[in-house]
Amino acid sequence: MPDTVLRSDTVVTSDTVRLERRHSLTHGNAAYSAAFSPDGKRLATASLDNTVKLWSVADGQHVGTLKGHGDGVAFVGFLPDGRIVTASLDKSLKIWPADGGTATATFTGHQDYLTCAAAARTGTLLVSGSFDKTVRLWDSQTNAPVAVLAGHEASVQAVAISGTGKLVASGGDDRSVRLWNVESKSLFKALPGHSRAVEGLAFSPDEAFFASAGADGSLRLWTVAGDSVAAFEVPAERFKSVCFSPDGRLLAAGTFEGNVHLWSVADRQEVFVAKVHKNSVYGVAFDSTGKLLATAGFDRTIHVWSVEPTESVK
Amino acid sequence: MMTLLGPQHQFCDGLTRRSFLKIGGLAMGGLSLPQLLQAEAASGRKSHKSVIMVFLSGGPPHQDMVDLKMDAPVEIRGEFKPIATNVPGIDICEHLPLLAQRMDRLAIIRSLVGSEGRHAAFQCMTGHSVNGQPAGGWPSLGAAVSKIQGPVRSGTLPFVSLSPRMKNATWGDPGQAGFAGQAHAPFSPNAEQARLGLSGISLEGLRGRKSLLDGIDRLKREADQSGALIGLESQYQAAFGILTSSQLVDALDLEQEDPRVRDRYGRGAIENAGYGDAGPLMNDYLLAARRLVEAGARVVTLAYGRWDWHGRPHGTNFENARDHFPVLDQGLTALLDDLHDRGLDKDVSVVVWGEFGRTPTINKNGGRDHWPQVACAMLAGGGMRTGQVIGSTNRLGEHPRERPVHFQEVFATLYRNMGIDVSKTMIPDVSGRPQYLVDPIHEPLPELA
Repeated sequence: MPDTVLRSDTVVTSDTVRLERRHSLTHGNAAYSAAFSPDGKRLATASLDNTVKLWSVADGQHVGTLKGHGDGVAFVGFLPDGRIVTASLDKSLKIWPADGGTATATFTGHQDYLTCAAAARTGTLLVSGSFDKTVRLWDSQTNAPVAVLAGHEASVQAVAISGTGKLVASGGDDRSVRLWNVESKSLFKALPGHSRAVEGLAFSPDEAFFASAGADGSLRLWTVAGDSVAAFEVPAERFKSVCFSPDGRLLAAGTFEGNVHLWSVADRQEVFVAKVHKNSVYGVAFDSTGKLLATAGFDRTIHVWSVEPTESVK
Repeated sequence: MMTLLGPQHQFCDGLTRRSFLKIGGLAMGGLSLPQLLQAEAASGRKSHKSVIMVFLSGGPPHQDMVDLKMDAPVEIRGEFKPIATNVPGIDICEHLPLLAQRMDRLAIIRSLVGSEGRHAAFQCMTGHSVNGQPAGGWPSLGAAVSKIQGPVRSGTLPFVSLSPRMKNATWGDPGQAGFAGQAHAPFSPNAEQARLGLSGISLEGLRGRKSLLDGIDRLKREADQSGALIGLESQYQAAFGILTSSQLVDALDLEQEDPRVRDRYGRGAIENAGYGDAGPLMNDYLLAARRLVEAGARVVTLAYGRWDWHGRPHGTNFENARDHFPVLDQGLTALLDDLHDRGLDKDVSVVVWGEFGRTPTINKNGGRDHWPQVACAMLAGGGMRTGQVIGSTNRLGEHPRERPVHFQEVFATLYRNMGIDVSKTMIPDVSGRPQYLVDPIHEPLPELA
């Protein structure tokens, strides 16, 4: 584990990585998800307070609020065209104009809490997972349901979709990771390995790998063929969220203990860990440059960090 | 709250529009007109007995808060560790470190029983079950005290509830008047909706006390249809004098408080907690409660936070506890310190509790469900013997092992602290039948005397 030093209230460094807090943003209840807009100018944050807030990345100013969900908002993301997609415990997904305003489409079908969702980096595919044990695919262009993927034996807690929308990964309380072929709408592979719930999933930008974050304290790296590549074990913690940096070199993960970890994918080494939230870290997200990282916590706070190599490795 | 439309306005009698908004809230929250006038009692400030009741809406997890079960299996034990308090031998949750250092000012009941299992403030407010109420309904503690003792002095309000209107009305229950009579309902400055419908009074109509009295007359005529204000017309002129008394307005105006004191309490969030269905996690209200009892209130109630933690996807029991515990820790500590520093700890009783405990076994979603079999309470002040734990539960926190304490024993204690002997005091219900305040089998807790 790397040595991490809290330089001040806003700067945390390890031997190789320096995080400086740029903004601390708040919601009226737990923050569940965060996403940067494709142009990097806006940050959207989703909360158990039933809203999504939009923020100016440059100065941290609150610029809008999306209201319309009837329960906590578990996910927020941006579509390739800049529109906003949200998923709520109220069992629905919604699409909103890029500048906020009123939802233009609502997707319903899940029979229980909708807990997770993802949007393809290209194309129109959305995926969602639910306490109803299903994974559902949706088309954000036609606003139509595409498929219901059944097979999980318990609540689905995490989903991810590859950048081009060819593969979907899902995981949850049955401890399995399932890979789904989107074209055939069928299960490609079920992957055991986690000993507790799978809480987070993310595909690498090059679509060669995906990562699964478990409440068992392990972060597992897999090929898209379903072969295990590596496992990062932190037995004293429980992972809740995970994402890749846009260049694929870093994996960021948040834990129930309030920590954020960074791993070098190439070196299979942890390069940073620090407790940056007072409560569980439900969401981690890089911006498109990889220089900013947003962390969303159950402590009602979203921190925006600049991520830089330390002087010694520049 | 009464809706007043119009620009900021200085009224002819010097009252600001802001003051009138607060006054309007008073009227809406169950305006206790007659009793406000019935006693021209002692003049000048003097200490009096009072109660601040903090209702933890939803039922706090006793085994994670003040009764940690480290010998229980992992599926029961939970995530938290106990920490030592400043009273040797007493441990509480690690997320209550400030209260741990004030344990000498607290009495913890670990064996609270008698919960009817209903998701409501009712039992914490009245001591009784909803079912089987006498004619007119049980009065809440505040209403009964108001009926028996009246105002401390002219121009004061015996019973105030700071609970705002919330989606779950049973959690926002400020404490019903019951057979004590509507005159003893709480003043609810945070209520958002008029019980008696004052919204018809316009800003223009408020330009002068006489105009407001005219408006109240209209209210009275409306209320007469329900019989709520029968016989009160002679009181209105004087009632309005109370409404506009600076004591009340000043007590509620936290802007008058030293900002450092507000910071010490922690201020808090004004939005209702959870999903808008529960009380706000608002430490300013704890400070307001202290100011109100200093201003003459006998009983102040407030719903605080959302403690109904069934688990994901609304956060596990432990995530929610990590969210709520530190805020309560700061606010309640500040209140205890404040009461102590101001010499009020012998007169002001504080009770912090919810409607039931939580299940010993953690459910599959990391939550704990309802557990009426046993719960906990924290008591302070009121001249009670603190620095002790009363009762205990078994190894798994399922049921009392020693000294079960009924809700009504706590009520008997609070009444005793107010100078009311529950063995002798009765209030007639609306059928005229005298009713004891608590069932005669229950007495004040001797441990706290």
